[in-house]
Amino acid sequence: MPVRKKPFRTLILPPYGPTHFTRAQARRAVLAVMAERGEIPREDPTATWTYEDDSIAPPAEHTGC
Amino acid sequence: MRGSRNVFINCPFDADYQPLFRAVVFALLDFGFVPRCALESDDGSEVRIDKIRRIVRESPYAIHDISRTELDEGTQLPRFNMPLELGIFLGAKWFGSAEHRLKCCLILDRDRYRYQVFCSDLAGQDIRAHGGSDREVIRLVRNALRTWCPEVDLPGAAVTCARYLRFDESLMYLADRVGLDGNDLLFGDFTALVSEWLRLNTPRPLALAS
Repeated sequence: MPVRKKPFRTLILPPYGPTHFTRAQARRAVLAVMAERGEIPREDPTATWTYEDDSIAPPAEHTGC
Repeated sequence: MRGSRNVFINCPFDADYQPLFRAVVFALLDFGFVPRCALESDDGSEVRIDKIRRIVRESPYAIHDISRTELDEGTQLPRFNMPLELGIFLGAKWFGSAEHRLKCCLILDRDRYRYQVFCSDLAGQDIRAHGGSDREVIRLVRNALRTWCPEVDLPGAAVTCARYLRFDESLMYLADRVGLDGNDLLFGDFTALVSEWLRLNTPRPLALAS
């Protein structure tokens, strides 16, 4: 396992949001397109924002809660 | 503003510039910063220059691209919004409070010395040339952020370029999934799709370490 000298960057959610859809819908869209492309999602552990719809929230160990 | 990762983006918003603009926005989010620009809100009651001033006040960092300072074919007059907003940012840095004097910015153009023809007072500022390349603009943005925030480890420029290309290949399908045209996305919609894509695509260095 590589040793990191400095903390890795943290993903930050912008203070403004989408206009035409919700973040939960955006997440579903990304998951669907990745599945179509045969890509495997890997949840970024530095992202801590939550969703309007809890059913698509990431596992608790990834939320920092 | 202390500790903020806001980066004011001062650049053209026309269709020709969209590939570079999207690359900058993607890179900033992937590097853990927050892209801020005049497109982020559409409040008709807020005067545009007041919006710019507010974002400049809230942003310790900025990226200014003055490459579109050129004659309009119809009017034969130059567009000067970008140099004006660069001047506002530099004014805040020079005359603002101690916090604002710490502001940092990256100034971009197509060619490194073109500004000497139309804005020679910028002599002495370090202007970087992107040559219209999204790869180069991502590399320049990363180099600047690494200097501004050396305490944080960032994905490599090549890693982020590759991630951006992958995202860009998916963008039309992502937009279609949320019922929109990928060529006509509002800024907030685009950044939301980028943010969710990044969240589900951990860069390799972090994936290896976790």
